[in-house]
Amino acid sequence: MTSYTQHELFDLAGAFALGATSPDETRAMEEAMASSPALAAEVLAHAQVVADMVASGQGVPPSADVRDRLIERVREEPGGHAAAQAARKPRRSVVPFAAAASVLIAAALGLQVARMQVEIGSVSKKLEHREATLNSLLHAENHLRVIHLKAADTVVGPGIQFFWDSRQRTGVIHAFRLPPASSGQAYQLWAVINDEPVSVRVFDSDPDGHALVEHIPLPPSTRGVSKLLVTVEPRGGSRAPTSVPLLGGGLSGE
Amino acid sequence: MISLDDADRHHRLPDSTSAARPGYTAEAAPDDAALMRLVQQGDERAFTALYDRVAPVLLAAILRIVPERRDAESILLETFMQAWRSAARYSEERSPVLAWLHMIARSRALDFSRSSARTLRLMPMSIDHAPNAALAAEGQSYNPSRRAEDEERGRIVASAMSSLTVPQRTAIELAFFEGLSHSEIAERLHEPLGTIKSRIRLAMARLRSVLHPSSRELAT
Repeated sequence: MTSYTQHELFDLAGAFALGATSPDETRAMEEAMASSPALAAEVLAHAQVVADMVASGQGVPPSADVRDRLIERVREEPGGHAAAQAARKPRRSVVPFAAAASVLIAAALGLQVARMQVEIGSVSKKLEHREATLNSLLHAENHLRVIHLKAADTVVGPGIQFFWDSRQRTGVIHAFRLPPASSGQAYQLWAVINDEPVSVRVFDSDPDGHALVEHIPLPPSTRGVSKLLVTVEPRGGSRAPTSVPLLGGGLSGE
Repeated sequence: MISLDDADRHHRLPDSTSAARPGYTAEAAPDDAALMRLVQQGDERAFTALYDRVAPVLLAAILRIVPERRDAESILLETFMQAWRSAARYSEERSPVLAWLHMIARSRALDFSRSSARTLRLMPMSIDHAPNAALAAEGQSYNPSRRAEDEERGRIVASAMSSLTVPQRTAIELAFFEGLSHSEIAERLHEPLGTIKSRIRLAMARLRSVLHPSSRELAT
C-alpha cells in the first residue's frame, strides 16, 4: 500500500467523504482516521456536506410494500440484531407479588394513557391543520411571495419561510428547527420598511421546533420592504428590536 | 435600535437556538443520530422511523444510478437491511447517518449496475435537475412540513453548488451522482488526475464553507 503524508490525507478528506478515493487511498484514510481524531473530524465535516447534498434532492417516496417487507425481514432476520436479540431473550419468571404490583401500575398507567390520548388528539389536529395550510401554500399561484429567513448554519440551523400573499394582504410564518423561546420570551418578526423595523408579529414555536402563524395582516405590496428579521424579545413583544437578529432574509428586487 | 449593517452581520448567529439547547432536538423530535443510537440498541420502531425519514431521498439517489424503480426499491430494502445488521459498527464521529446510509446505498446501486451490465441512464445529472417530479409523483405524497424543509434545504444546497466553478461542479456531480472515483473522472474528462483531485478538494472546501460556515477549519 502506498504511504501518504498527513498533508496528503487531509487533502483527500473531501474526496473520501464523497466516495471518490481509490481503494488504496480509502484503506489509507480508514487506517489513518483510526489513530487521528483530527483527520476523522475533517472527514466528518465533509461528510456533513455530502449528507446535505443527499437531503437536498427531492425525495421519491418508496412504495408502501417496501416498508412492510423491511419490517418483516427485520423480524425474521436469522440471528437478528445483536441488541434486539438480547432484548427479546426470555426473562426469569416473575414472582406473584410482582404480578400484583403490575396490576396496580397498569391501572395508574391506564389513567396516564387516557390523558395522553387526549393530548395526542389535540396535537394531531394541530398537525393536520398545519399540513393542510402548507399544502395550500405550496400550491399557491403567482400572487404569493416566499421570503426565506436564515440563521448562520443555513442547513441544520433554524429557518423561516414567510409567505406574503399580496392578493389576500396577509402573511403566514412557517418556522422550522426553531426551539421554543426561553421562559418569559418570544420571537418577534420585523419588516424593515424604509430602513425602519416595523413589528409584524410576536410568536413562539411548538416543542417540535415548528411554528405556523396565519392571517397576519400586511400591506398589499412588498414595496419599500428591504428585509425581514426575527429577534428574541420579552413575551409581549417590543416596540423596537432589543436584541441582535437571530434570523434574517432580504427581499431582492424591491 | 439595530442598524441594518448590524442586522446583516448578526443574523448569522446560531448560538441562541438549538445549539444552545443540548437535548432539545432529541427530546422533541429525535434527529437521525438520536434514532440511530436507538437502532444500535435494537429498537425496531426507531429503525422504521429512520426509514420513514430518509428513505425518499435515498431512493431518489438510487434511482439516479438504477433507473428501474423495482430494482431501485430492492436496493433500498437491502440498504436498510445492511444498516440494521451493521448498526453496531456505525459511528457518528465518523459520518452523519444520512451520509453513511447514502454510501451503502450508492455502493449497492453501483454494484448492481455494474454486475448486471445494465445501461446506466446518464441523464443530465445536476443538483438542479435532480428532483424528478415524475418519479416523485409515482410514489406516495409525503409530509408537507418535511417537504417545505426539504425544498428550503434544496434551495440552499443548489445555491452553494452554483458558487462552484463549472469544472469543480462537474467533478463533484460525476462523483456524487454517478459514483465515479477521481481517477474515473479524470479518464472521463480527459484531464490529469492531479487536476481532478485538486478540483474536488477545492469544491468540497467551498461547499463546506458555504453550508457550514461555523465549522472549524482544522490545521493540517
